[in-house]
Amino acid sequence: MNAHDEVQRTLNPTCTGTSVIALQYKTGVVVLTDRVVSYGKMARYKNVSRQYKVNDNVLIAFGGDHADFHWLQNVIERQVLLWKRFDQDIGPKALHGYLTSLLYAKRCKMNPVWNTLVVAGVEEEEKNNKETSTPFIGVITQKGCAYQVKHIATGLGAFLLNQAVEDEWRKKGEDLSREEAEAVLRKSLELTLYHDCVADNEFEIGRVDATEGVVLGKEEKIIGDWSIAETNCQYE
Amino acid sequence: MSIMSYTGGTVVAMAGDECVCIASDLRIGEQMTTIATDQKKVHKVTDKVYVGLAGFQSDARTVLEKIMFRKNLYELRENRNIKPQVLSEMISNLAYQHRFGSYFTEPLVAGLDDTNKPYICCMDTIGCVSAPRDFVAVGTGQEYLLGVCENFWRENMKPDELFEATAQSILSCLERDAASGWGAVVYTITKDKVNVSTIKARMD
Amino acid sequence: MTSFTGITAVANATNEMAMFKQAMKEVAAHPEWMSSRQIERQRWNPYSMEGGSTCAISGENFAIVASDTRMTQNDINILTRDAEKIQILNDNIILTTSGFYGDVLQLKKVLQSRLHKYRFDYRSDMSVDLCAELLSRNLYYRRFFPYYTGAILAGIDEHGKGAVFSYDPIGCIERLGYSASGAAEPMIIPFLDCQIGHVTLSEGYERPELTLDRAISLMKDSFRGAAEREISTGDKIHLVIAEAGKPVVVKFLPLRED
Repeated sequence: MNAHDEVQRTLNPTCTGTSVIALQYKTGVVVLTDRVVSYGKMARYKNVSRQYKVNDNVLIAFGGDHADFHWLQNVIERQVLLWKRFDQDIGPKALHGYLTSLLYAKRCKMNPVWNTLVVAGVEEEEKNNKETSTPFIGVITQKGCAYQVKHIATGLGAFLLNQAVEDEWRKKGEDLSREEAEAVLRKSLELTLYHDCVADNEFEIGRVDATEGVVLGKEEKIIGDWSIAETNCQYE
Repeated sequence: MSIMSYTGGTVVAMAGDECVCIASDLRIGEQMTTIATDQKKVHKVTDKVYVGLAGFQSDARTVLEKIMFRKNLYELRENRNIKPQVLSEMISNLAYQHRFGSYFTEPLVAGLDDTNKPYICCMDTIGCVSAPRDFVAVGTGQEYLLGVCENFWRENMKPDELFEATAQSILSCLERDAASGWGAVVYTITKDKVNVSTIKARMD
Repeated sequence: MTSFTGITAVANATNEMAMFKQAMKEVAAHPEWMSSRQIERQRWNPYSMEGGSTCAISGENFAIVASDTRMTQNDINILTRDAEKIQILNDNIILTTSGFYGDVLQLKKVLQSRLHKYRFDYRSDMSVDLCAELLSRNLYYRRFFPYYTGAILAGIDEHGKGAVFSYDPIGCIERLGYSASGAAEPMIIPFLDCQIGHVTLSEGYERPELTLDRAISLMKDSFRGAAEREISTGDKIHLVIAEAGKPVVVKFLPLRED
């Protein structure tokens, strides 16, 4: 390793996306991201999707450096094509494993991929039998620390929302319907909006369902209730 | 190495039913070298109130002098024995007066008040008091002690049970903490007497 | 002939540019206005700690391994309440690790593939003693970029006896009766010293042999105590019981979740 190489690595992220919130429901997974990429605290790029459809079973959402994610999209696409050559569709578990190894290897070269990835999908136990499919959410941090969850909020959302989402999850558990899950996500976006200065009110909810496959969300907008803002004067 | 672990030493106190136990090890070192093996870190303040000072022992000595000075003044002025609650408040004040150049010692107070209710507390170097109902530990072996005490402490222990629990805790701690050792001294304070026992532990 | 200087001029210019670029790179890599400590602080840290504790106890014909299932970020934020820190490598080898979870996963993967290769080559499962040595070598292989993990390997050895091997991050190995690692290690170890090691008992007293039931209840106690005081330990106890000649049993027991 050359002494100057560190200048050419993502040791500081440039254009970043913030929280990703994902939640499992009965037959699939819903994923919410807002549609802004920030440069520091500036909302630099609007109307950018932070979700990437891999195939009909897998959807990836990211937080962290946008350029690194573009690079990752390319890598993932190649991997998907590689599987295609053997007539296989990559599943979420396999992709999660692959990306874990990739991110860990990059970390070991001291050249990290500055992303927190949320791999959402439906794992097909048997090919073309939707009955046996199970929803899957896997998270990978930039250092290659990977785990599976039923619900997740990354980025600043990890501090703000994890508990809120978990509480909702515990009420219903596996029996959560899609509408309920989406309502939880919308509510939690509202919460990030109030507290996270780089979160945006324009967002999209993508989903992976056992029967419908990946459905990318449409752009939506919430305003929230700002009446309390007048009373918040920070007391400084 | 931090100044807090320069001389080493550990103090623990446990509360029981109308009794408290306070124990310390006997070692003083200069980092890895042991230079004394008979130094109690627990000091008598009144008949039923004891104070333990862990951390840097030079500062601990100075602080002890100051504590005794203030306590004597209090007793002269008020003409009554000091309660452990009052003493801890006094030490806390003393420590916080030196907020930006603190004494490197963590004080611990254990005693019975005038109704023989047990009182134990510990504080950090700048006098933030924590007075739980079960047990407190300060010094280099703090973490080791808290783990063991958590398993040994029971509600409303009698003096002999309390002594056993405290002694077992500090002995287990001395087994693992290299900066404390050379035996332990345990004070069991009850309403009509104080029992002092010196226990042999790992002598290294 | 001497009047033609075009090429040397260009060569000089390129040379100067190259030198300038080199100087820029050097100054960017080692800015003179920053002390080495400042540079060190700004360097990206490849490690992170995900907290949690693990513990293993061995007896005459059994070995039990336990860990909590909490994974934390910065010791305050719970990432997940059911992380797996115990890997059952085969019928008589159990690996449990705490520390940096990326390394935990990698270590698991490395050992699994090594064991797979062994099975392929020798057509039998590896014994725990061999695996212990293997793990030590694998940890030391990364001496200068260590796996940031406190590993414990437990299982039933060739003679049907319980075995626990404890490691430091760079592969120092020791066979012990019991061991703990992770955030609550200093809280669990002295308790086990007292209850299993009988270190506080005077010489000449009878030291009863450890039974499986007692080992399990001690394990539960030590984790409950640790969860009480240590914030990155909690949620669930993942308990794995290996007994000689019996299949491995896995249990989950509740712990406090705050």
